[in-house]
Amino acid sequence: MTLAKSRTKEKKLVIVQLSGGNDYLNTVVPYNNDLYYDFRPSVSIKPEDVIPIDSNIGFRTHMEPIKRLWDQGKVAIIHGIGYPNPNRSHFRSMDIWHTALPEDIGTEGWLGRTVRDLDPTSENPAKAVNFGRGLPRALQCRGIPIASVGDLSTYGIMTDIEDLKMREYALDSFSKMYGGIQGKDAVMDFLGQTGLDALKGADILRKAPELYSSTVEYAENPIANALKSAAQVMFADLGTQIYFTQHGSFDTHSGEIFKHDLLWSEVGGAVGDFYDDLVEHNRQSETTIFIYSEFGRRIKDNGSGTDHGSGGVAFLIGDSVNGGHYGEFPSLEEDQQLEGDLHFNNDFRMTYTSILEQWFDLDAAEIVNGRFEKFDLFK
Amino acid sequence: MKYIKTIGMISNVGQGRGFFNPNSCAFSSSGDMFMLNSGLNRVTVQTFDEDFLTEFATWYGNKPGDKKLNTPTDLEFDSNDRLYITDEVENAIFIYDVEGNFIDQWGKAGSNQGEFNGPSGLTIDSKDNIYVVDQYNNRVQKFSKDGEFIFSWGEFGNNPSEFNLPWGICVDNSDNIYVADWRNDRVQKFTQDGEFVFSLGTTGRGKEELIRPSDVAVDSNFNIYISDWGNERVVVLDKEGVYVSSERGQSTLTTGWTTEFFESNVDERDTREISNLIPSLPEHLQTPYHESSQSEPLFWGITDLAIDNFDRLYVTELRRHRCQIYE
Amino acid sequence: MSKPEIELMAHLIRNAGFGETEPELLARCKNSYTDNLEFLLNPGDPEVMPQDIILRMNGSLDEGPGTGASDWMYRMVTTKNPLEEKLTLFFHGLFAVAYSKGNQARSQLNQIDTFRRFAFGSFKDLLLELSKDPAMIFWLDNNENVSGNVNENYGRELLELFAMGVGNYNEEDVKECSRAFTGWTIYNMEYMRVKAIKDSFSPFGRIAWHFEYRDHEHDHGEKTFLGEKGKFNGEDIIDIIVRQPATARFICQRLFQFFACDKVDLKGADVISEMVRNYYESGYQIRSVMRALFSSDYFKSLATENCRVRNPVELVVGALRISESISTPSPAITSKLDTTNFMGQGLLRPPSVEGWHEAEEWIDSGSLVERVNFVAKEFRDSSQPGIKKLLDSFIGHNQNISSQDLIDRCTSLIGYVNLESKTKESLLKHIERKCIDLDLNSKQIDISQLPQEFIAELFSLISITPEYQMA
Repeated sequence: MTLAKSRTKEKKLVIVQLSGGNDYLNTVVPYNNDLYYDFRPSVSIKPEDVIPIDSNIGFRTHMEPIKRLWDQGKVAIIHGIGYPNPNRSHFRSMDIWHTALPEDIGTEGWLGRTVRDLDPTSENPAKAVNFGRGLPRALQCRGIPIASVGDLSTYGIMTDIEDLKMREYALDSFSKMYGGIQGKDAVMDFLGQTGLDALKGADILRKAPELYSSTVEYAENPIANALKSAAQVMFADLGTQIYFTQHGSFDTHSGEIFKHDLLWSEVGGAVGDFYDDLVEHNRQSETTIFIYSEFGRRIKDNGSGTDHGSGGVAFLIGDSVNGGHYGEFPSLEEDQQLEGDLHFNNDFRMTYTSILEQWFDLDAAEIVNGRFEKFDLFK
Repeated sequence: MKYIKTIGMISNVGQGRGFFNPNSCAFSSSGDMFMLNSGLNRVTVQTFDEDFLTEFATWYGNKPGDKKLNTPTDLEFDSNDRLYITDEVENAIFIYDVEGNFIDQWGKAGSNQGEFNGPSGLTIDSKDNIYVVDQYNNRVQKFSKDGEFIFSWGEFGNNPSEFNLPWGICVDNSDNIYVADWRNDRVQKFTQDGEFVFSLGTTGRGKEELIRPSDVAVDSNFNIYISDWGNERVVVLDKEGVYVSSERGQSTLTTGWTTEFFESNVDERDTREISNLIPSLPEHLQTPYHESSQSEPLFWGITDLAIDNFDRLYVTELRRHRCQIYE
Repeated sequence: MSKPEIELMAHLIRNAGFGETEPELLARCKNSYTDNLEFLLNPGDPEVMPQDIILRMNGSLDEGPGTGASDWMYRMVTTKNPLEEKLTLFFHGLFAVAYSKGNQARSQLNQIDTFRRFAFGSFKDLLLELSKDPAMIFWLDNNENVSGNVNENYGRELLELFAMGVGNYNEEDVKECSRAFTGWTIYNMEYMRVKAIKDSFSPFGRIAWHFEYRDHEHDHGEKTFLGEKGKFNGEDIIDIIVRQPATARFICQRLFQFFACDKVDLKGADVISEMVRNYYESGYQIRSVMRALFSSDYFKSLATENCRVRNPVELVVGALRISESISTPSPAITSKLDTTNFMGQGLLRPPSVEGWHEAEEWIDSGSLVERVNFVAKEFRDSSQPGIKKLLDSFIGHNQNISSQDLIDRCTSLIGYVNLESKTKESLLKHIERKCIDLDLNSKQIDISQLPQEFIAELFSLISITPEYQMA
């Protein structure tokens, strides 16, 4: 049963991108498969370190918080996610995930289009917030304002002016100048209005940390900070529905055992804490967390790490999520591999379509550039 | 020069085996190779046979010696296996023991005695005196093993005993000092008291000519090796400074790390095998820099020359993340 | 020095360069407008830091898209030949190649060098170099374009986006054009292709590319292109393209919009016609085309003042040239470069082959916040050598001036910024309030009593005006 349609406006999607290519095989580990250990003489997770899901596969170390939610039926694991003719270049593959266009170079992002459809009149400049600087292509869409927040506590215009009075004067001048320029010509009208919008958007967002209180103590690392900021914005009820952030780098060509371990201790901890925060503020059923990476890595290790591959894993987490396995765990048999990589068996746009249609009640076809089958990812 | 082998491979994550913008190597008394990485700062320790042993002074760790380096430039052991690392932005010398434990640091910014402005090359003589090239102060400073200033020589200029952004430095078995006088396109030889002996090289691409030499090494027979950075080659001279030969590089894959890489990336191995790895270039790209940027076996960005206990020459290439070994 | 004269010089340098301060403009005004224009069009020594020192100070500058582009940005900030870099930037946007596909920063920087080498020369030579450029070849799949198996990607974009524009050729021309470029590929293509698509820097870092012509992959048959017939190879096609009136109009209009005004009105169209005439008379020389633009009465009448949104790179480089906060090619330049990316213009990373969406599309609420915060900080920092110099010019002038004069003084100092009267009113209010706090008479301000930070703050406020976002 989906949440009633009247509540669509309250539904939130939190995207955690694992940048750099997360190693699928060392995330959901086929610990009972000899081939895995044959192909991974140097870079594998020992059976005794695996947190078993069943007798064949298990989560890697540090994914205990996700295992806890799995046991409660709140985690969907999407196995073997990818797209045809996989691209193993970071930027390009990331673009493909962001634009939902594997064949062409697109400029509009799927989440930007989602915002456009959720808020067709662009009334809320905080409909989507990126926690990080710059605008990821996923959030780009012509005419759609998206807030990009490097650091919530210093977000806004000229927040580096320490003298509060001076800053007040400066902002007042800014507001007068951008208000006053309107009426000169169309370009200045636009520039002036954009300036005023920026000021308004910043004011709204910056208040969020002041309103926030929680007993959850996040760790001190970038992904924990980002998810804590996301919680602050969410609990301030600004109407934000899309929360985007990323963590990395998962590009573990060497020293993978140590590096990957650290990354997942950060991601696992941050996601677990964030979920607890949701529960404390009773948002767990209206919030879904989506975790993905631009590609998986080679089946065979290179002695110290793993190189760029294809076929990955994604996770969908939340109380409204229909927990379980989706897609199939790809075979490690040589004749089932794709150029030394795991074969994808479901297009990432199936998952996008499911999220858009089942969670946001939107028509997905235009957003993801085509019609795709759906998984039943939501209760 | 006879090519023996290559050690190295890029490690973009700055953890585990491999190098990232390596710029200097040195050998402990037990013969292990210590490589300074300037991309993601750390020292990696490996053997001649490419066994990766450990890393320290890392950019990420939380041990006392970690996260100290900013822009490390050179490293060298003294006779007690203490490892000295210069840092041209921190204007400091960091000292570690052979296990990688942080021991001490000294130095501060300035142009007075004992102060630094961009320390680059460092070498240690048989009595454990330390010579530091003080790049932007255009001088060499000599210190006792405890870091006490002894004396310095040099100023900006192109006369004997003057320097223009000097870089590498080495000491021979008779404790003579050789300095790569980088922007004067020459190497100068001095006694341990800083007295000028001779100067090698003039500007150019010819036999006895140099462009921006970055480092110098001298073997047990007093042959002189110069990393001719701007010409992307190593020039070999005899002890009188007479030209013997030069080498543009002939790196192969390594027996360990890169072989493992190609075992799991056969598409790259197969297409590499049908490639000409030293192509000839269109006219506008016919410079040593561009030739090296397009040719895998050639030296590219040599930042350091080092000689091990068996008199083998190690040529460290910042831009190719490896070290070619010659005898 | 007459005011119109220096204002005109400011207008020229703002558009042909990255903007300059009053002292720099005064120095230029010792020579005539024409002499200055010729100096910009015939650049001498750029007097930038020599490449050897740059590479020694920042050894990995050519490794990735961020660090690779900082080498170029450092050059823009320090060059004595701003128009040369500005044209290079123009061609980078017009012939847009992005890092994402080839993963080869060195080859992209080689391409930028090519744009710089041919910036003022013949458009024909430039298009030929472009067709042989390995980064372009890989970006538009010309390495897949072989006889009997034609890939039209490069052939199409050459006509549509790089030289002529849609509507001036038909689908048959695209096919024939593409056939003529069969066999134009990169050396060691098979290995380089695998490395590129896997984004592989192993084992020993990236390997840069160069052009290879494979005669056996070239289609030697007869082609019909834009009405002409022959066994054309790529050179012949370019020869035909540059002769087309559509090509002349296309390149001249793009240059006009990049260097003068986002929109083309009737008078602007006349200037473009004059540029086109010079294009043919000079044998397709960009130098002559640019001369025609900047010496046109229309440009010199200041009619094009503030009618073009500054692109993020010129905004950032302009501010850095004034503040002089970057003195060495240290990693700091890479972080400044990141800000142009946050403003929507990542060097070496245009969003697609169409380049950046320019004009008003540079502006959205996110990019405007980044723009304002960046310039405000550069201009407010009185410890930076460039800002300090400007502030020091107030020292010794122990006179009383009005708030109005103070504003004029400041706008002049940072490059004769032309503000609307309402904007000036807002600034006046700011000064008046501040004067009350400082217990000064805003009608007659004793300059010597003004804290330097206050004047720097005025620079900063001018830099965040809507007008300063324009050029």
